[in-house]
Amino acid sequence: MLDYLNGYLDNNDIEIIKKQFNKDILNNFEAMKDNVLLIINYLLSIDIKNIKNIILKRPDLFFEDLELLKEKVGKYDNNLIKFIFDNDPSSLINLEI
Amino acid sequence: MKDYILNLLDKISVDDLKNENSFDIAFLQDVLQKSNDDQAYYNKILLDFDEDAIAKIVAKDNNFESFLASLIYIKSLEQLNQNENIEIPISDSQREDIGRFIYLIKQFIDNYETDIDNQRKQKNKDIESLKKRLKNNKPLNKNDYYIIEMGVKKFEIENSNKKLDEIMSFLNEYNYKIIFKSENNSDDLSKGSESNDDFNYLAPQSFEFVKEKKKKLKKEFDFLEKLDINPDLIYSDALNIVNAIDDSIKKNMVSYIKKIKLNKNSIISLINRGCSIFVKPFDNFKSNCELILSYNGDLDLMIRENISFFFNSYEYNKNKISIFVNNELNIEELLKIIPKIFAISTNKLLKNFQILDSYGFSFREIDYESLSVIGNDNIDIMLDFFIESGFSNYIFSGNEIKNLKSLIIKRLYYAYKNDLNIWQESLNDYINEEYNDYIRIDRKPITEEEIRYLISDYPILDSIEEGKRPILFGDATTAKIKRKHEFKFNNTIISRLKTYSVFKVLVQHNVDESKALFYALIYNSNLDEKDYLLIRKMVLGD
Repeated sequence: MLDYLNGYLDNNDIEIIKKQFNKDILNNFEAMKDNVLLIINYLLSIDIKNIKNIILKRPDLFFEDLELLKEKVGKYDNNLIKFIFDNDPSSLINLEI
Repeated sequence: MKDYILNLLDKISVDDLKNENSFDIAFLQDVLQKSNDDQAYYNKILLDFDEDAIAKIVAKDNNFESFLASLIYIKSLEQLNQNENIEIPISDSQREDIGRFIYLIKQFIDNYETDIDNQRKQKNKDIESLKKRLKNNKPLNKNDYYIIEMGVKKFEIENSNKKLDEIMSFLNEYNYKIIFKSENNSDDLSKGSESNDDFNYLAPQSFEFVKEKKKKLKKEFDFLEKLDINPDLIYSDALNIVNAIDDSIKKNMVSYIKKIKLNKNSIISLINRGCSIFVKPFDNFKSNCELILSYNGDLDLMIRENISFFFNSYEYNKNKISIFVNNELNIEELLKIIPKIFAISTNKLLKNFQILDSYGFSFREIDYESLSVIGNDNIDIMLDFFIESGFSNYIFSGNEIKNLKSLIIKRLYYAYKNDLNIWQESLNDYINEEYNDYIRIDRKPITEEEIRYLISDYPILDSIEEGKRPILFGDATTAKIKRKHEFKFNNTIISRLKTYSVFKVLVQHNVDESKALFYALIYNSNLDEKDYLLIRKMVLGD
């Protein structure tokens, strides 16, 4: 389960994620892995590296439509968004993300 | 990816491919010897071979199928004799069959080297044909997949599973596209299979494989076709899931999706970003849709903004809605204005509504767009932070939720601009990690009634409560707000609700009450040295 995250997170982080979520949520991460990977790669492309914390705090973001997420993120200054993603991903909801 | 595979095929040699017909010749020679020397073993010889091995040895017999069936029957007879310790005799013709089997073992040993050599030549041809097909965009067969898999395992030792996963996804998509194109032009497909003629014994298998794939794809595409969806827009993993689901679920899905008139983008999103719905009972999806529709919600909007609603369980969603209903919020407005709010976990919602209630939020005047603040972690820490920064008047000047959201956004921006920790400016010197762990895990919203009990249980709190609450003149509402939320130490404001909730946690963990009060006052507060010493002297007396 979640082996496909190996290239992005270390085993320890993957174990933390597995412990944090119930099986139902983990199954969703498995079933929609194509979309999860699209979102991870997008976040990495805009220099956001805090992937484990973002998964833990905002799992719903990984099932978002990529284009819609880009549109929402694109409304804000790149560095500000990066700062919030890295420091308090749960606060993104105040920016309608 | 195609170039990577072609490079891999340039490196691979026939020795990298496992020979499925390989056999332990020494074992066969030993078996022959024993059958010659020992008459009892002669009858039992088949017990030393599994069915695959027997099939390989008799593969060249003219009556392969009937002969194989006869040998397997004899083997089961001998197995029965052995297991039950009985002696069902075998007939003369069955003994003849065993004799022929022994003869074929001898032939197999004699021809083994030549056969292996031929197979090596064949495998070389397979690799070359595979390269040719890949370069010419022709469909790949089962043996091609096998060759590529062996190559990845050989040359990607460190990361072979991940690489294999990527390559197989690529190959599936590659094949799907080519075969699907052929679906619209059957001549292309037949040409494709004819071009596989150089496969010799593999040719019929590969043709069957292509036909089988085509049959499976037909099933997937029927489903997508009925919904008028272009398969090119569907992710390969989602296609696999759609392929695996039961026909009756597909049928129900198609008719229900048509009934609720989802737009095309929503259907594509449901398959790509929400394919878990196909794994769960159809009724779960249907009930979730009906739950939204019962509040006049827009299904397309919900799919766009918060697809998780559809693959969460109906009971979970229903409970979540009841949390909003219990806080007298209008579900129709929430669904229309802020559908994302239903992605917040029920635990967080319950906790945050309780915190807001304890800090005196009324929801009398509500700006639904701002209600997203309910999704923040540590909303109590945010409120303490703003109260201690002197914003309680602003927050509680009507439309509290909107005011809070506006402050949160300003703080995010300010912290970013000044490179500050967003919700904590306290001095590290005063931090006690052990206490912080207790607080992080056990801090709960506190009510005025609980505060009254705490004060009566711990008289040390009485002096703070009486002496440090601001005495305000003028407007009675402002005084009430400040007295509820603030302690004043000269010009320093400390959140009153924070102090009591943190104190409660610490004394529950047997921290001395003076130390607990001191730490509760300074916890997460932005104090300078003078304030810190003042509070310390007042509480600890040193």
